[in-house]
Amino acid sequence: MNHYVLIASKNWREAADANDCFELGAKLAEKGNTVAVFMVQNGVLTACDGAPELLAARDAGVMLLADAFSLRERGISTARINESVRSSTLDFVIDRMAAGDKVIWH
Amino acid sequence: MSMSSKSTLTVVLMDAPFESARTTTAMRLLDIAARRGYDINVFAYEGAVYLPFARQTQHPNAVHGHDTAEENHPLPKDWVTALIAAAERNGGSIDWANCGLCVDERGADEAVEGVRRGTPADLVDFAARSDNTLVIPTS
Repeated sequence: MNHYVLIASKNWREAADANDCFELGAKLAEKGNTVAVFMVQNGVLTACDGAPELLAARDAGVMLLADAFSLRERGISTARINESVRSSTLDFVIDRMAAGDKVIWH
Repeated sequence: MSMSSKSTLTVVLMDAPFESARTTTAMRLLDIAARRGYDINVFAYEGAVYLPFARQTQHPNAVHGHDTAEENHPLPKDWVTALIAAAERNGGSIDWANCGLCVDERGADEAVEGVRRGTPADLVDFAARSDNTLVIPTS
């Protein structure tokens, strides 16, 4: 089993493949890996969408996190993000890098 | 490696300055690692070799009615200098290598102190001796 952090930096409104990392995260989790998707920049807009890919990732056991700084930049309060998403910071990414997780930017 | 011990991380940057939110996020990540006193390797290639370009200058903004001091435009070269200083202050280091091929293509051969010229072989070496490597590509 591997540990993955997928960094979702785009939203589907700007890139058609933006939600692919949620699908990848779900598939990795279904194969027994530990997976977190960390939303940053416009990626945090997906935290408000309740997109099917996001919900499928949640159902597969993927940890869903949104960068608090990116949320604040866009005037998004934590009350507006999907209940399956937790506000977090980039410290999480550095923590997981230091721990040896596979960290992939998308 | 335990999170409580000193880590060596490599970050690979591709974006030119002033163009993408990825640059801001990359700098934020590097800042966290620098404040922790980690040993950090940065391999900058393509447009990212301009991040530490020494001839970046602030400018006034006539539209806003600001002179240069009032505008106080942030410069990535200053962020790079600050990151290197923060790492050293906290017992870590930053080895920042600008891809020499990319530098030559762009005439970006004047970098702030602490930045060196490198080759793609440096990236291989960085990755081989790091606990982890993050590649931040252009979209």
